[in-house]
Amino acid sequence: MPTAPPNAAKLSLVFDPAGLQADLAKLGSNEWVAHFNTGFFSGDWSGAALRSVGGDGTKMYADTSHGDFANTALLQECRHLKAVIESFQCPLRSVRLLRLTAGSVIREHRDYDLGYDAGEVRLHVPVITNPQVEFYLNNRRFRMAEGECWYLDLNLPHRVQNRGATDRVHLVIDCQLNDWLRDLISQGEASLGEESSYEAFHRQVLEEPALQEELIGLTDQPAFIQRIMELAQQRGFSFMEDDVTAALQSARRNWMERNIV
Amino acid sequence: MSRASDLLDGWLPISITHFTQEPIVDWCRFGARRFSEPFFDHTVQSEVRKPFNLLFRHKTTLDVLVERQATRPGLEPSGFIYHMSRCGSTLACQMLDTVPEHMVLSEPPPMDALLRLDRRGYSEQQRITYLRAWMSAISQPRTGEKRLYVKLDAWHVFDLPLLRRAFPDTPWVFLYRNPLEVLVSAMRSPGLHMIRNYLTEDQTGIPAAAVPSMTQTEYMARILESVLKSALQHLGPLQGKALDYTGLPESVITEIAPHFGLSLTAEQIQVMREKTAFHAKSPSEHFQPDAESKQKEASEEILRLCTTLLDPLYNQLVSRS
Repeated sequence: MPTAPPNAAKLSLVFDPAGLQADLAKLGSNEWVAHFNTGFFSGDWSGAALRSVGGDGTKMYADTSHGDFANTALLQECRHLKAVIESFQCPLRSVRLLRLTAGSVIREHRDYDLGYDAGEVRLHVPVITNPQVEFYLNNRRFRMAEGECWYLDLNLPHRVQNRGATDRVHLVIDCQLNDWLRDLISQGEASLGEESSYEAFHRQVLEEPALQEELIGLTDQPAFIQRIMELAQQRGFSFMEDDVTAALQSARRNWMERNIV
Repeated sequence: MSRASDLLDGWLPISITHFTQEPIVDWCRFGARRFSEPFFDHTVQSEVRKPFNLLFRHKTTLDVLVERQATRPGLEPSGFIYHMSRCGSTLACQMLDTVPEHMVLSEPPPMDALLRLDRRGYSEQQRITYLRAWMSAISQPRTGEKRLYVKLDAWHVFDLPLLRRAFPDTPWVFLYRNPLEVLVSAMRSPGLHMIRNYLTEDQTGIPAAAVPSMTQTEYMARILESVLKSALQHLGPLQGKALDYTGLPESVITEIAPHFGLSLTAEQIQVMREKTAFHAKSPSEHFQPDAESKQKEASEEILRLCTTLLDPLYNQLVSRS
């Protein structure tokens, strides 16, 4: 009986970040196309297609319709990225570079088009990143370093904040699951991530009635969130309003689904 | 005592999720708010919508309920209201709730969740322990409440023997009504237990194999039949009191209160009577006697099912009230 995959795993594949970054440096500003789903983010989230249906370089979304995927002209110019992609011994669908510029935020969402059970998974290879990038999956923080290759169950709620001063660019590879990839994932280093700063604050509120008193009377959501941000700052926590909004959303969903098997 | 249990002063176990691997008790900081909405869950829903309560809730195992009971005992219930649905039980609760020292819980879902732990292999003794512990935790007096009344779900008449063992000193009543009027009301908008397969054969005694070939009306009549039979069976041995809808709302004052050992002042009776002028489930609407309109709405099938199946049971209840 096949075992369920972990929520996140660092795979044994490792790539040289310097080569990937050299390819990245060749991309002009006109190669980047804004992400189609503008409701999902603030700031600049854009991408460059390396492989898409028909090899069309302007197709930025991960096309899941049944078409023939082909490498784009851009990929031919990027030999390190091409070598990465060619090292995958499974059918590939869309392959993109996704860029989240300094200060930009991707709100919590789920990628419903993917799924281990449905045979489609998305892998991430950070090309360039910084320590102030915060990636959360199911409210756990995962640190992914340049050149590593990660399997992530992106059906789960996830969000990203680039709170650093430099852009974050990931190579995002959509794969069709086969035995090679299944083995790679099952032999990967499964990770539970770390407690987020928001979660640590949340735990402290539940343990301190005095902190609860500060918040209980605020029935207006914006005022409530603002007070949380003030209290968190006073106590040395570091998270964003977006983290609170995401937690409220997930709490609302959990409450509504509490009786669903 | 565990740290988790220590932190729960001022928190109430509003919900119990039993579909998870281990049942989870969901605690909410409730403040002084009374359970005054027509149903327990309406009050809970409205409280959970507040940002603090949405975000900050303790989640514990069932055993924390038992720990809390040892250090913070709540109220022992002073009366249980069982009923056949659509028969004035909500009105009776709303009348009892007019007295500030009363706490009234109307069809609280956590009780059903605990009763149904039998499906997860929990023994009767375990369910009794957790029911008593939950009752103790939910009934922490917050505004000087001294007496606790609980209206159960219509199908809990099947759980009467267990609930009687769990709360042997709590008096109980069974409210009923002319089955034709109940059936017509259920046809308009069926309660949960009227939905096929919400209850199991173990509870109702209706053979599962017979259900698919029944019309919806017949299924509802069969459920009512089981409810009435169960009430008739337990009334005598378990010392209950049956009350017909026709005696409401006055019988809350003249029959239920004395049965529950409750003596009301003239002023309290006055406030209760004023409450009866309003429709129990939609407090903004005035209460309208609707027996006559319901009688007119009855289909041939309803009339036949009442004559053959339900009226004899109803008449037995009337003769024993």
